[in-house]
Amino acid sequence: MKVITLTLRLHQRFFPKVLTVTGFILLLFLVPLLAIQSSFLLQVLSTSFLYAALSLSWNLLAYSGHISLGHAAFFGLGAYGSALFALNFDTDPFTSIWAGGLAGALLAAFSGILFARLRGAYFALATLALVEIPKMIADNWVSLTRGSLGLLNIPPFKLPLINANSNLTIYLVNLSSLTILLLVVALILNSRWGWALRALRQDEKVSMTIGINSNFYTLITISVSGFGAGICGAIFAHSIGIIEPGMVFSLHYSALPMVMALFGGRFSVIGPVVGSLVLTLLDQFVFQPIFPSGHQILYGLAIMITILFMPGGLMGLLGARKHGITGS
Amino acid sequence: MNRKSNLRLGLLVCILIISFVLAGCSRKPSHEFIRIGEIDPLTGKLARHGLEIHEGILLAIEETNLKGGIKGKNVELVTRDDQSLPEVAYGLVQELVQKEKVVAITGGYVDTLVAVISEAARKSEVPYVAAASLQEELTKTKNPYFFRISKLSGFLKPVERFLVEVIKPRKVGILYASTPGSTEFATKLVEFLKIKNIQVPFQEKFRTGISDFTPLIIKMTRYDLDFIISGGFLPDHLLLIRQLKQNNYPLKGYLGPWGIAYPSFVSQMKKDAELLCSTCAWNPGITLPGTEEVSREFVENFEKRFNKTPSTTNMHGYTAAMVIIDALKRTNLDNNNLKNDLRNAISATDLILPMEHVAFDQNGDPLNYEHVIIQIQNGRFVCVYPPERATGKLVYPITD
Amino acid sequence: MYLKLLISGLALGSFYAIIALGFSMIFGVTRVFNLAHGELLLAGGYVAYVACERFGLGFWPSVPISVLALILLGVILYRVFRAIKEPLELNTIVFTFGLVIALQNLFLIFFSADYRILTTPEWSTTIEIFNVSFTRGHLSMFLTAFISVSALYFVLRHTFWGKALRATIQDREAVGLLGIDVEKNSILAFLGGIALVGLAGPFFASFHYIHPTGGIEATLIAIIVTIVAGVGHVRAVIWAGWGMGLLENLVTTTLGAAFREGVTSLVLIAILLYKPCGLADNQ
Repeated sequence: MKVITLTLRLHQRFFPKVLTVTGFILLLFLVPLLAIQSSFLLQVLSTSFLYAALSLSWNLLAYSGHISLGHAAFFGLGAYGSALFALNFDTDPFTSIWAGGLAGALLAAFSGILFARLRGAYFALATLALVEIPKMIADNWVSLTRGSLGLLNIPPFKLPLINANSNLTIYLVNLSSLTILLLVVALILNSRWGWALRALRQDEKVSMTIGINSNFYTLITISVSGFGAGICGAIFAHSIGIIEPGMVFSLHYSALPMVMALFGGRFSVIGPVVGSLVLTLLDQFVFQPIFPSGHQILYGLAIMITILFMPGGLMGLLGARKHGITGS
Repeated sequence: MNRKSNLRLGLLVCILIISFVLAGCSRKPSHEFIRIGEIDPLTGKLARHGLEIHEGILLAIEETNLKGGIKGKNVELVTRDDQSLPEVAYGLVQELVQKEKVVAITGGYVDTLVAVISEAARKSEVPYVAAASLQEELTKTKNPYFFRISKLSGFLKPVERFLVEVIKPRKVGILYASTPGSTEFATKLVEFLKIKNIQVPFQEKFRTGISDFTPLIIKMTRYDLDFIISGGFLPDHLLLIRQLKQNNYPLKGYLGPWGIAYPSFVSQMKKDAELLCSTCAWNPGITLPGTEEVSREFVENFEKRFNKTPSTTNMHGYTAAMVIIDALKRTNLDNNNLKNDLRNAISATDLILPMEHVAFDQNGDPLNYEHVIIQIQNGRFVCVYPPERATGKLVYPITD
Repeated sequence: MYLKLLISGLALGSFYAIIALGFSMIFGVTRVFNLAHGELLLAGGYVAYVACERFGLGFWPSVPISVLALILLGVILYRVFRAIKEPLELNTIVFTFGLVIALQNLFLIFFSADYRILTTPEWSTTIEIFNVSFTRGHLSMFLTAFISVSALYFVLRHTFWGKALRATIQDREAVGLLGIDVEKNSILAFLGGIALVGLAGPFFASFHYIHPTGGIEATLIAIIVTIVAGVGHVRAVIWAGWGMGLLENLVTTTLGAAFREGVTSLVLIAILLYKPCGLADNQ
């Protein structure tokens, strides 16, 4: 019942926006029909959807003012959780990714409780240090994870009538997961939960005096955020088929969602998605072909320029209001 | 929404559409060129090695073109940088096959990247000849498009035989890096040594690039080791040897399968490199019997082109590229099933190169890849094992 | 054997302290979270490398050159950091992340991916006192760390400027109200911190092989030591450095080298949880 009223309210207030976004998503589902010749495009888009989903998960937590540098821990745990589940219980990926998501959520919840008193840079550092723990376990618990050798032959995604793990399959899987996650995040951020997060980000002490339970909201938010990151890691593991501790517990997956969310605009719901799409497409189709050996510098410059000149990200440039809250 | 933001939204959509259109444009297959793709880490952690592989491949391509190309057609190398990141490598395979229309892919350093590229190659049905790969299981995945010119046992077996037949130690210490290749090497070596009743009281895994080996060195002094095997990479050896000397460690013997048999190691370490051992697939002066002429030519051409002495990593790149070029010469280039025919031609390779007599088994593993054991004496690489290829005598122990 | 472990732990710890000092000062006063700290260290290292190997200068003469180069770089960086808007901590983290990528690739272009080191043969000679042997290198590292920390401590404690800086760390707004030029303080503190990085650079390049992607490890060390010591607590930096050096040695000797990073992270988390203001804090 609550969901229905929430959705109705969404439509009333944000009808034009929701229409645009829904339309765009439907378009994306149809892209495979248009781009039969270049399934490379499908591949690039799949990657950007995965990054978008990861950034979206990260940004959910960032909404409450908690900046995490440790999402690679949830991502990697999701990858390992799902892969181990599928390999040991002989299931297909569509079942095991939930195990991955759950693993990510559990670790996130645990760290949410552990780090409950930390704020700002200290919280960020704690999450950064967090990445090392599951990495060390994965690297050394050889009987479970094969240690540094990694896991091979992780089962691929199989949709009816399409080849296993084909570009089309992965595209649809990533797009679907992104859409579902986007819906969940939009619902959360436009509900009381979301407003509580905004209030906490704005000023935690004041929010607590008006009755917003900081620990509770942080805990449930970080769990959802960890779940999302875990699902992303799980999808990653099954699409590539091979994972190693160093590969999935890499700082790369901590930094990436942060950069994309900031670039796209971290105060809007779809900011991270926009950021991922634009940055990934720019990098693949503009930077790389023009500067095959120097494109990384452009990436670094893009990040620096964003921070200096558009702290609200792309969505900030487009005039997305911060939902009426003045100040930062 | 106001007009200003509408305009900006429109601009954003335009950018996205243009990107889509650009993405859709793929190169038309040219009839004057044969295109070979290369994916190597040219930036990032593994840049050093990726660049060396790249140089070897480049030389092979340029040499071939100078000699008239393949059946009159020039070869074009399409290079891509995977930034030492697996998911980037994965995506690049598709780009190379679909946009750039390459007929085969080569390159690769470290199994994390090679494994991922091999899976993508399987999906895109394009033959991939990896220049550097070790992990045994990679060839157990029944991937008809994956070939490699190196394998773990090429490093492992010579070291095993060398220890048992020549050194005959009682106690061995093993250090290894947390990469799949190094870990697998160490694990299998320890198993072998235990069967031969050689003790391994010291086994330590470290993360490559650590800044201080002193505690490990102090640990080692407890055991009176007859020989040390270190599966680290160049920077690890550079540091470890220096610190062993600084701590006055009584080093009797040291072998590093990776990173030592390089001219840059000798020039960096100077006299500290003396009497260290390594495995070596190829080096100027250490080449497959019968290929001395070709090897010398390679060294000369490389020095002229790149102003430095070639290393074994360069040669790995060169060998992988030459395999593809040789296979292309045996393939009918004007048909629609080129990639599969090429794949079959590669499978049937029988090519003698300075580094190895290249031939593949049905899993894509090289049949004849085997290192020799070398020792650095007077700043030069001297082959000390197997006896039939030895160019000098082993000095052991280093210190009494 | 334990004595050897102690000495090497202290030497390693001194090395860590030297690396962390600049970061601690910059973060403490300006609240700029500089993820590119390691890359700046590398910059100093490369400058010293060029001075030593290409121009034949010795180790010690290359240190002031590195410091000067870093200060010049620091002036530019300060201008840029000033333009970053609130929230400062988050934005500087992301900005400096972009800087890391840019600098890494610049190094790759100018210096290639090869490993380089400052050769300091005079540091390998061993000294023996009371049956304990250590190298000159150990001694240099130890003394440099000790002297820089002490000097910095003296400046902060006993000069007016130093006291003003400490007050700024504690409460920026109040300090402004007291009539102290917070802006000028910030610039000087920032440049001071950068100068310390310039000091650490040549040490980094002589103890360690430098290459374009080698900065991240150094940044992590600097962050950990700063946090463990407590932001702004200068004396504690050397204790924290030593503590970390000894801890790493202990872990490597007992559990094994594979657990080194994991245990260090656990310790960091523990400190963050129980003494987030650092071990030296008295509050």
